[in-house]
Amino acid sequence: MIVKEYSVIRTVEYKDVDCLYKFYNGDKVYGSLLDQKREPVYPTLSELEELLQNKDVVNSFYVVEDKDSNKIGLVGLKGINQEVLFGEVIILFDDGIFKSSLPIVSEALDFIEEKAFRRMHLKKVLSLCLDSETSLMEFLSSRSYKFEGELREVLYTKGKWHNLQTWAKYNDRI
Amino acid sequence: MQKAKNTYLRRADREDLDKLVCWMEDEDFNYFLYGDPARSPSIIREQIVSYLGKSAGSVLPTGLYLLIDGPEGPIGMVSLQNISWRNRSCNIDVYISKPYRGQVTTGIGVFRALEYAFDELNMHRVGAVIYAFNELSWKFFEFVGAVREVVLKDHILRDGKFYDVFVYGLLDREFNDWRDKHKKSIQEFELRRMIESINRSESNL
Repeated sequence: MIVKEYSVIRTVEYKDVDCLYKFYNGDKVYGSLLDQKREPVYPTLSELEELLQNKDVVNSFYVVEDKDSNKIGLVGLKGINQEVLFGEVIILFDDGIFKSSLPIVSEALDFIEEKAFRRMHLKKVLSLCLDSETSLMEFLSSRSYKFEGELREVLYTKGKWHNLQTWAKYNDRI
Repeated sequence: MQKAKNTYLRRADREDLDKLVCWMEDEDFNYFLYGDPARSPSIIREQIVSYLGKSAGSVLPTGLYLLIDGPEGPIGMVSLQNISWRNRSCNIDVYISKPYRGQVTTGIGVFRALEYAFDELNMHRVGAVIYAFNELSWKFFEFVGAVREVVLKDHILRDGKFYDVFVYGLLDREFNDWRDKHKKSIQEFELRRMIESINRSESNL
């Protein structure tokens, strides 16, 4: 468990299934939770419980709590390519959190970037977000992520087409 | 041009297995596409068999293998991968055997595969992931109206060097506009004409 100034960050556990369920099955669709076909996935509680028993998942995802132990969101690192040294950063927070608790989100991203760049020595990290995730886009931009482009009309949901953006940040030490 | 007219597109069958394995073992296949050079031929074979088995009878397959065939035998393969029936989208991968690369025949085969994706499978979007050094491929996709949507810097390693990866997207309306614009020059190669010609030669047998 890592205690920061505004947040507490710890590896995801079996008991965090509710937190993960909320992101998968909520009203909002997150670009980083789409599958390979860019379709949203709606897992059941038991499927997520099973997922959280997977060692790789547990070691890649972190729950972010505020100082009152409220679960605020999740961060993670997936799809690590050892040959080219890149990975995908997962940043899951409700839109409102980016406004009300930005220092918590910043600490979470600091933590995951530190893991990617300093401990795993990755060359770059990518972040995927839908065009509807405006708060995340603004946040990534403020954190020196570079817009690398967007897949146009790749997801159809809630009666309209959505674009999927790719943002990247490079390791300045490599 | 006559040669181009004689080629046709068909679904890959179990009888094509040896040809497909042979292509997948070609070092260019791994160089230009997503393959891992360390894969063993038996694993490649197993993988293809499972793909062929899956796509054959499935109502909603997630992948399709098509062959560009001709009088001299198959000249290349087009695969439609990650087919999403919800989003009406898929990714296209193309492999052309060495002697036929850069030929009009090949372009026509890929054009017909795109027609198949848009006109028969009702796709809204066809995407392609192409390495920057594969200029022939990305120029072809730009030629048919695809847009370079994402540039992933230094995203692939080949012979010890990093290269960019381009992600292209072609929407149904863009492909239709392109077809309208080039109507006169492409009509004799259309998928529809190809099917008519096959039907004619079958009825003459």
